[in-house]
Amino acid sequence: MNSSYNIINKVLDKNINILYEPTNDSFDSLMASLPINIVSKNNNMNSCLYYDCILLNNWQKHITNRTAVVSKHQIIDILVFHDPCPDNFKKEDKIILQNNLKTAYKIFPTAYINQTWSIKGEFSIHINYGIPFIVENNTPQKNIIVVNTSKNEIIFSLYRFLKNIYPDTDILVETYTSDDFIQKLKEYKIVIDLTNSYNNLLAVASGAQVITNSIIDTNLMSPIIIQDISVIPNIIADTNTLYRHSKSINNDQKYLIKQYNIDTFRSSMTNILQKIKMEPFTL
Amino acid sequence: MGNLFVGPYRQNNIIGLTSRTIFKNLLESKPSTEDLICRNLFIDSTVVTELSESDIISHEAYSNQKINTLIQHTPSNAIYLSKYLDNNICIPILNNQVIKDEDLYRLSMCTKVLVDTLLMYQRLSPYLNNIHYIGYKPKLNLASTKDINLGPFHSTYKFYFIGSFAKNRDLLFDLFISFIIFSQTNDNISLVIILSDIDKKDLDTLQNSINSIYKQLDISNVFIKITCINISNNLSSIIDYHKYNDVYLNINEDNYGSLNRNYAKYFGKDIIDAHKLVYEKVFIRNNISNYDGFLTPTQYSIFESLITHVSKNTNDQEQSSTPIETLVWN
Repeated sequence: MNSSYNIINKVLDKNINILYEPTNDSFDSLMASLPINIVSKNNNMNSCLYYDCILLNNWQKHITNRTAVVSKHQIIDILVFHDPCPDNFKKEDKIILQNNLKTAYKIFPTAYINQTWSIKGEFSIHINYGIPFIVENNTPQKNIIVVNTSKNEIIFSLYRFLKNIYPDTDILVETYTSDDFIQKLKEYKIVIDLTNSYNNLLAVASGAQVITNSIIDTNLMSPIIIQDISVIPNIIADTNTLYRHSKSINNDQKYLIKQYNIDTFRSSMTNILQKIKMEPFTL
Repeated sequence: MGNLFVGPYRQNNIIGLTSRTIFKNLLESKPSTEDLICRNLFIDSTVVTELSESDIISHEAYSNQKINTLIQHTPSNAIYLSKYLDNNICIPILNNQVIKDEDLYRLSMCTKVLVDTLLMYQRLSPYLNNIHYIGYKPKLNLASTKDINLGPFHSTYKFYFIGSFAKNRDLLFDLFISFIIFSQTNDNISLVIILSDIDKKDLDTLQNSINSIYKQLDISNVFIKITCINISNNLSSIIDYHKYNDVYLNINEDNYGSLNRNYAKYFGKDIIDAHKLVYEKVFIRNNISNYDGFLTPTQYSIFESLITHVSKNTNDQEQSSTPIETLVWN
């Protein structure tokens, strides 16, 4: 019964230990850069290690089995909302969600995500993602890369279609650290990234022209937001000849480095985890 | 010095009340140089209570002090061990299951093991050198919440039992038989069964099974001397039942803890104790099977304890317990 170990070690052990459900994306490397110990659920080590809280990146999965997980381990749960609230999410559903997750800590890592969810209260926290660096004044030699870390079949189809037109189109399916992700993307003029907000921000940081399907941050001017992926070839045909070190990309990068400061993310997130660690668990 | 108490004090059942009582005993007896913080551990998350006692809640706040002593009121299979603690005191929550070797090992690795029933002290002391028999003061609000009158049972000599229905089902059956036979030669007595976690349907079934026991024993045309009461929604009324009844049957199998025994003693009631019964091993109890077995009192020894009580045929001196604060704060 390791719940007693969790409860006691929260007080005895000064380290922060979190049970973490990975995203298998660059956000994992951001968490790994914190001064905390991570126990990954995928490693199936939770039977022999203890942890102070559980951090999850998929709220939809958690909402259905929250009571079982949280009661079983008697630890506080934290959810990170990586995407804005869907347009078709009804008000009643939002109320149900809020009730089900009343005592879970909810982290909204961009102002836009925070605003669309609009869940207030002491358990709702806005901490901006951390971007490690920006790439200024680079001159990418390659044209297009399609990010498909989620290995989505529709995006694979898009890649194959584009490759017929632009033979040097590449696809990125592996997971990189946030630093390496930026380094990889800086080689391309255009990044098509339909994955998640954090990857989108890294893509903007790399200096590329980003095409994505969701608003990342309302203050970012350079990303092209599309509703339907079928328009992508037309957009590329327009932008390919227009790509330069565009002023809006430069301005966005300056905005990113200020608003998404990685040291601020690290200290804010660590402080929140430290605070949660010290709280007693109550149902 | 920093001390941490861990126990199910936020549970709304007898174990929860016991944990709160133990914590309050420690809190009120601790030297001023000692810090005491507490953390709740849910053993049963379906019985949560809103804690109203601000003295307990305030001690949930985090202290930056290094913790030297851990006092854990936990089941024996959840005992925390660490070589970094100066003092690791365990108050195990035990029941009728035969204790496993690995749990005995964990207990042996604690600095002290404190048990609050003579039954468990006698059962475990052949295996543990660090075991102590402790007592603590009842700390719940002792003012009456209501007047009780059990109608036809009011002026009888009332034996009473308090416990969980689900975890004492088989014991209750044995108790009913023993008591019914006993009552054939003793007048003006009754048996009051006070149960938590029972609903109206089960209560009716229980009363029906009492009637059928009378029939099976071929006893008819008698006044039925057993009544069953549900206190699921009002746990604190056990105080009122302690005051009202006469002889507390400290034999329940769900929690070998002394909370109710302490209250019975506080109100000057006679007590029939579990450690005076004879136990046998069974492998299925209350519809649960266990490879290591359960130790359960024999029906005959329950009957015999009732006889012994009324004949006052006992010379036993009660073995004295050590106050819990003496063992924790020294």
